[in-house]
Amino acid sequence: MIGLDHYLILAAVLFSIGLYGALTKKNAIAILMSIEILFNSVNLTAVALARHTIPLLLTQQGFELLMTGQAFAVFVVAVAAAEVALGLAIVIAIYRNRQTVDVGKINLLRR
Amino acid sequence: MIPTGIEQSTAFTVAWWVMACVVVLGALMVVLLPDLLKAALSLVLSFMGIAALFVMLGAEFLAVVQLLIYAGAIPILIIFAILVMQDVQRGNPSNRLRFPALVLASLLLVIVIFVVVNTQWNLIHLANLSDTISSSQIQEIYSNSTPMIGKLLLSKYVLAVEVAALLLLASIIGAIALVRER
Repeated sequence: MIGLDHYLILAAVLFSIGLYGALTKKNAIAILMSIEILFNSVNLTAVALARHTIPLLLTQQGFELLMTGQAFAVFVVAVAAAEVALGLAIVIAIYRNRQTVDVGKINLLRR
Repeated sequence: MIPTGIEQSTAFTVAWWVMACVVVLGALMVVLLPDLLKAALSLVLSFMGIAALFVMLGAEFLAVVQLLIYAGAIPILIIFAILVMQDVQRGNPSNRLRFPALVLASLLLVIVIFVVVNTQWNLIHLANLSDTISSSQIQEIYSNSTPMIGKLLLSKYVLAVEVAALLLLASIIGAIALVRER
């Protein structure tokens, strides 16, 4: 039977893959894609916890509190959408000015 | 306590493992494929697998949101940005941090799995809830979660919803201002 642990370990595997990608990639777009994987693993964790665990303040605050994890995931999706739109706009602006998206070569503030 | 039956069946377990493999393989292909465009397409595959997992968790609304935004809108933006640039031919190389990053990621994975396995979760099907909420109520909430999310978003988290709307507006204006031809 599939329980909470399965989902959390799957999310941890996904998070590790995304972390590895975000740390090692040279291309800025590949880094953005890895960060999307990180967001998704967090979403999976939140929804799995909403499904399998129970909040302590359940009775004081109403039964819809059981859905807190899913509401949290909705906000994560909204923030991720804003992040990708802005991130890609920045990448395109950098590409237009410097003809590269290699994050090792974008060192204007480092010199 | 929670709706059982389908979650106990072998078909559910098999489907879960298939979807978990799809998700992990898609994510691995994003990180390992040399072609950036193929990496973006395998990102879609991975996100679709996660949408299927959301359905299995009883979160239909989030599954639809996942398909619309993560498997629809975001990959379109990413593929469009890839097509605008000419760096695609150069592939998707890694930097010098490859080995330390691998060690760090595996270490994090081991620690998280250790914590997950050793934590006493307040599990819903083990908790003693009979004096606060009946099992039929819980069953109703989990079988029809979308109205509950709506209620929660527009009562407890209404301020956060407004701030999220403002954030999206600001990011749209910022994106337009950044990529506009001068």
